[in-house]
Amino acid sequence: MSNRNPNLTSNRVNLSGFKFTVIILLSLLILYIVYPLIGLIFITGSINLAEELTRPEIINAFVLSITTATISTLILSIFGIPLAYALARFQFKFKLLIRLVVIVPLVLPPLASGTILLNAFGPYSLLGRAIPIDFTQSVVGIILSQMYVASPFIILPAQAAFEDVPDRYETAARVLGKKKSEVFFRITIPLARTGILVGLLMAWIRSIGELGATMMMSYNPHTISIQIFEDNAIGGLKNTVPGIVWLLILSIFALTVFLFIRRHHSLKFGW
Amino acid sequence: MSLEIIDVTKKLGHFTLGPLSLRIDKDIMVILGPTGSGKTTLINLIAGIITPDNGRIISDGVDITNKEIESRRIGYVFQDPTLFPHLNVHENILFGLKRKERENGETMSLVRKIIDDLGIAHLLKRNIVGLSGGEMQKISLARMLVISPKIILLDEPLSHLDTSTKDRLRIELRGILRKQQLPTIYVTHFEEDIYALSDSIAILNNGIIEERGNLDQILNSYKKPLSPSHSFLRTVTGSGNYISGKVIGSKNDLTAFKVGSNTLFTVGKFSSHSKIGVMVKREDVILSKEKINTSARNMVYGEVVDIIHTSNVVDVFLKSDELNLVSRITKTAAEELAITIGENVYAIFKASAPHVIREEIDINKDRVPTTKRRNGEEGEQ
Repeated sequence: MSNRNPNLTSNRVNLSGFKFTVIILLSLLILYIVYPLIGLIFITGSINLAEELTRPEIINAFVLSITTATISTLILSIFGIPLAYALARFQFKFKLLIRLVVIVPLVLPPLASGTILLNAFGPYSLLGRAIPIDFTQSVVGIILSQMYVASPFIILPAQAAFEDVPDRYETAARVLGKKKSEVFFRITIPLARTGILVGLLMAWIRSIGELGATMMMSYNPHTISIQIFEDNAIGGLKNTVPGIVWLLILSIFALTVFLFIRRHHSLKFGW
Repeated sequence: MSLEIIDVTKKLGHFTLGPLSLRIDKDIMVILGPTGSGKTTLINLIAGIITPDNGRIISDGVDITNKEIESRRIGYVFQDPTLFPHLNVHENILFGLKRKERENGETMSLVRKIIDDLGIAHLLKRNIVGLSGGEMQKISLARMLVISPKIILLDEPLSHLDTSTKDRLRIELRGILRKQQLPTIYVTHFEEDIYALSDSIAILNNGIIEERGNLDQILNSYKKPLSPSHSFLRTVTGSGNYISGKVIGSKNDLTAFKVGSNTLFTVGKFSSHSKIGVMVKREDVILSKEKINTSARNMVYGEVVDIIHTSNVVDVFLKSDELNLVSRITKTAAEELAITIGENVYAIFKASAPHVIREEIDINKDRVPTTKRRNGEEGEQ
């Protein structure tokens, strides 16, 4: 058979070679991600995990991170989703410039973002002197930092999701007698829902993990990232385990939510 | 109810539509034109999706030129069904109704009637994903009809359907649209749509209406090769013979219908006194100089009025009383038969050759036709 069709044979050999390469690359990457976690298990064995996990400063930091990340994500969604819609649907002057501005927090190292935020909101800044609110070393400071670094995570996926909704659905809805605002809430948002939800989830996770900018703006009260940083500085690696374990539990929860959103969407729309 | 378009123009890049004027009362106008002729632009102007540079659009005596899309009450069926994928069939149908209307018994019984007329009651709880193309377009029709539109616009609604679904829906569509008694524009480039659906036809070419009239006027005019629109119409209507006649009776799944003094036969049962329109492919009509004994049911004795030679075939045009027929034969056959203009020949075709595409049960009554289809073919369920 192979003598009759040498092309077929060579294809098979190539395909196997390709598969083999993919498996090797994939395994190395997975190993790279998992290896440090294995190390974590060994460290965990030498401490009383249950006691460490419920350490008050750990719990407080974790709750603070979740609370502030939720508030940041909600505020971002109020401003970010309409902006994403405008970028996806409207043609206007300086649109390219706005697109560039949107990705600035993604490109800037978080520490640099924190520095410029401190310069803008610090106690000696124009805003800091004008408005009687503690923008730094406060919950407000944490939220400002999180919002700055997480904003692209909401805007970019939502923009892509809006761009993926064919505008013929919106036109059809308007021809059927619905006003623009009603079309936005009844057609556009539900059809772009997956992208928007994934963006919200990513922004939330990014906010929880935020360190650099928060460190500059608001070292106190401690978020979970700053707590891990400080625990490491004071007590070494062992001390960081409870914070890391809580974040791992959270990441499993986030992944479950993400998979649920995707599965629900593909079942409903067949996309 | 009426729709009037007065001196409308619209420039889109290098293309300009108009100046264009039209008036449609309670009838179905089929707008026919090649790709890029401005058909969709014209109906988008009427729907308000785009606004004209000049001119006015009047619906039922009211100037709607600058009205918002949502306040025009237009029933628009798009080429793609555009059913909302996150809503089920019933939610899609009710989408255009306001909350008050959904609570109104009278409106809801109208909705129920539309659903029943279209035969989609069994689909109401289904998701949009998984529906067939024909089902989707019926739901689009229902969704458009429930808002009690003042004007109906259809942009090639059958173009994405397979042939058998297209044939079935086309016959139903005329009944449904006639029943509405509304100004209706149906955009297409399909030959059968013109015959099956039109009360009047407008030929649109390069943004200008080059020809207007009813079916007979258009078909008679295109036989004189004059303007570019004629050559387009000749291309579109080039493959078949459209014949319409009154049914005189059915027997053994064979229906006889009368066209002038000629009696023709087609397969299928149709109500007596109804009017049917059939398509016969030119290739299905054979010619003979003598009367022959044959199993074919249809034999027409007519005069050769024209012979057109194309690269490898010959089209022979015949006239017999009110019946015009074109037969397409090979060059060799034409040479052997040596047919000349003015002589009389027999045109023969089988009863299975005519393809029924239009049926009007009773011209005075408006109702959805209940066609008994060939070979026991059922409607889409």
